Amino acid sequence: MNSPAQPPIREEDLVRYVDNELTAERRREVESYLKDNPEAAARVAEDRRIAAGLKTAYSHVTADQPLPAIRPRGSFLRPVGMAASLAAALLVGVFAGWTLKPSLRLPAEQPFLTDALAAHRTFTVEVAHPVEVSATQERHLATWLGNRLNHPFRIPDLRVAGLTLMGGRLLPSNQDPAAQLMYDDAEGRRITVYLRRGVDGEAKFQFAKSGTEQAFFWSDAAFTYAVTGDLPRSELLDLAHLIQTQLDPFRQEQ
Amino acid sequence: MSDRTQRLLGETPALHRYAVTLTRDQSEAEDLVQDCLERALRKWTLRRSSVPLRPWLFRMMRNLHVSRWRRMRKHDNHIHWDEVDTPPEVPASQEDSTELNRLLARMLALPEDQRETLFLVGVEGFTYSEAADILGVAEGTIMSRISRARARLREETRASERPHLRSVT
Repeated sequence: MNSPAQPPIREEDLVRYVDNELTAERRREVESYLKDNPEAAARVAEDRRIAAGLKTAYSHVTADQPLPAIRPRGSFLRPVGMAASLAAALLVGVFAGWTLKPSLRLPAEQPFLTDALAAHRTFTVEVAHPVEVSATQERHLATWLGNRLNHPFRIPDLRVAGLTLMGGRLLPSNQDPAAQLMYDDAEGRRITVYLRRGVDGEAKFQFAKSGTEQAFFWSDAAFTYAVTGDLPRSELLDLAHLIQTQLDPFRQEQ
Repeated sequence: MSDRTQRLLGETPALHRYAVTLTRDQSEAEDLVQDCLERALRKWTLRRSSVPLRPWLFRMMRNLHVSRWRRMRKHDNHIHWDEVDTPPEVPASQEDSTELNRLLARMLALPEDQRETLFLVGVEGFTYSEAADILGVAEGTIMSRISRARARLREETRASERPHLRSVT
């Protein structure tokens, strides 16, 4: 059957055959070899079955699924981490991004935005006391601000964007008090998230620029938000999406 | 959402799968994915647009994993599992009794080089040459690792399908 010129089928050929790593010619040679060698054919079939099984098994490997136990440490008992829910929220954000196009509006038309920008300018330059309650008391900060703002809320986690929470503060405003959260990146650049109760804006992102600061602002059912910083517009929009998906009241109820 | 973030987020499930393959631990995998996404955002502008995204991210994640592991060895008395070449215990508990879970456990029990190579080729569908590039080894090495990994999985799958006559040692 084998022509004299054809090199014998070796282990390497069978391995490559399963992964489709052979030339068309060599593949045909392997196929005819397998017809005459049921043992090798069974082995290839088994490898393929295992490969298909692995693909299926891996399709269930997500952050919220426990891994099979492979070592004594019971790591699978840990609850779903922040990263998992964050990743899930981010994926929602991807789809939200299709429908929520940012639009432009002048800051002067927006008292909310004027307050947010003023608070940003006031406190991001502060050296000694940029925040009232520091990130070391993050839980307390969330509870306290939630109580004062009259609505529970989660402190957005922006680590995926390279921003670490510094802390936050309560601020006076016309109606209910407002809250400001401050974050900084590895280079010390600061961005703020300003929010207060009520729907001052729209669900879609609106963009505003004032001096070197740029801001995106939007509303959901509970709050109106502004994220402000001296960042390129695209990065700022990423942050707005990130925050929006994390704070979406529908997601929080799940 | 910007193109950058959107594309990175699309890669998150694959990054998580690779992280699980490397760390064999969900919480460590989550940390690794976070670190990798952060670094990718910071380094984005350094990436030439001709470089395919997923291999770039996988290489980055692998480097992060290797440097973490080195740190751990240096500063920690904890014995890393790879240093004691004993197969991990795979309890036939109720929760893990499905065949797929057992297969995944066997996969994760492979030595790290075989495990990640089989993952890249068999699960993520990289060619030998792409996998060789990600791992920084020769293509022949990819082939021989896969050969050994498959042989082991075949053997263990066969053993597990025989009636349970062995006692746990």
